[in-house]
Amino acid sequence: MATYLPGVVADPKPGPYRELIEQARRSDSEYGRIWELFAYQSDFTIHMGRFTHGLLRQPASISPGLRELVAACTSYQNECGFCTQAHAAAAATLLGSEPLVWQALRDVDSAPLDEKTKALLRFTAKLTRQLPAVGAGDVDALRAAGWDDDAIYYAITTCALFNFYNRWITATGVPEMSREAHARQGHQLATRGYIRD
Amino acid sequence: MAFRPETAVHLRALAETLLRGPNALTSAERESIAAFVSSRNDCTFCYLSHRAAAAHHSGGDYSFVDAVTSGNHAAPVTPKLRALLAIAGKVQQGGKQVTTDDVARARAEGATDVEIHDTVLIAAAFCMFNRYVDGLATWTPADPAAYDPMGKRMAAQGYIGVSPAQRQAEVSQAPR
Repeated sequence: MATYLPGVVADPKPGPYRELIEQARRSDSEYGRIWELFAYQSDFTIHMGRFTHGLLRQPASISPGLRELVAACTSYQNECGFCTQAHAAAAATLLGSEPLVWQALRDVDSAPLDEKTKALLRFTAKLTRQLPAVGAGDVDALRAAGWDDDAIYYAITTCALFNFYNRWITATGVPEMSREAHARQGHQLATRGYIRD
Repeated sequence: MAFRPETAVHLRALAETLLRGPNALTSAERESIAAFVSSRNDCTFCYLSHRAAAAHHSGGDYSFVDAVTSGNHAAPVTPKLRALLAIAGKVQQGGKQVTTDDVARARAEGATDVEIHDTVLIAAAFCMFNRYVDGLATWTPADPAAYDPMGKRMAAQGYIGVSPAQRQAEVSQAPR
């Protein structure tokens, strides 16, 4: 399955993503075709990688596992199969349960999560789907649920970032990988992060 | 963007590359796409500031950007840009709305894959910036004239190394 923009796929710039693609092709292994977008405009995507890594991994009062869950929840709401699979797998590794992650995505009300985490996921869904309706009252509700401003900042910014990624890769036609490849890649994201340069 | 400066520095670098870096689309066109998407997302701060930046890439003339954001895509909006805006509008709704037909239509109007990609990139990036700004309840004047000095600086100097205090000062100097 090709992406919509062969002119972009055919023109990877020298750098870590082109090397990753070449390596995967040599060993005939499946790779995330988001790499082709990263390889195409490296002066831009070098910032994306560093930004993503800092946002999802640097010390903050919300754990990296819950930040990955916010990323997966945003992607699920936007029906971005690739990002949902990738970040659900990363969240499953960091939180220690794949069924919990998928239940949280499919039906937050019935998921065995505390009310504080449910409030965060409901807020993520609202910011993704009902942008202009989000206001100070929604942030106050998160504070009342027990989140501090640092955690709220990370949740909002992660949700915003995945509203970018979901559109960038679905509009350019990046397809989902197999379940096995996503599980492998998600584990990599969980353990080694997002900086490739 | 003052709360976590280590995050904000990357966001400013992204804006600089997207809107002012070397590109087949002019900065006026790219800032207009940013204003168009922000307006569709009802993000007043991003809409009015990028509207002003687009105008200052055209010598302070707002007619081009206002034609783009009004959705009344007659002249001076070219057929190629009109096709790219159709894609940007669908990206704003959700990336899955964009089909191979939309891409083919833009190609038929003379857009390259690079220009189509960059349009998607800018539209998607503003779906991020708009949520960042709205979710964090950034302070937002309602008067379009208040954004003119900011747009002038965004067009002339760009996005790197500008502090929130400087942005606030720009708006307080604006004609009322």
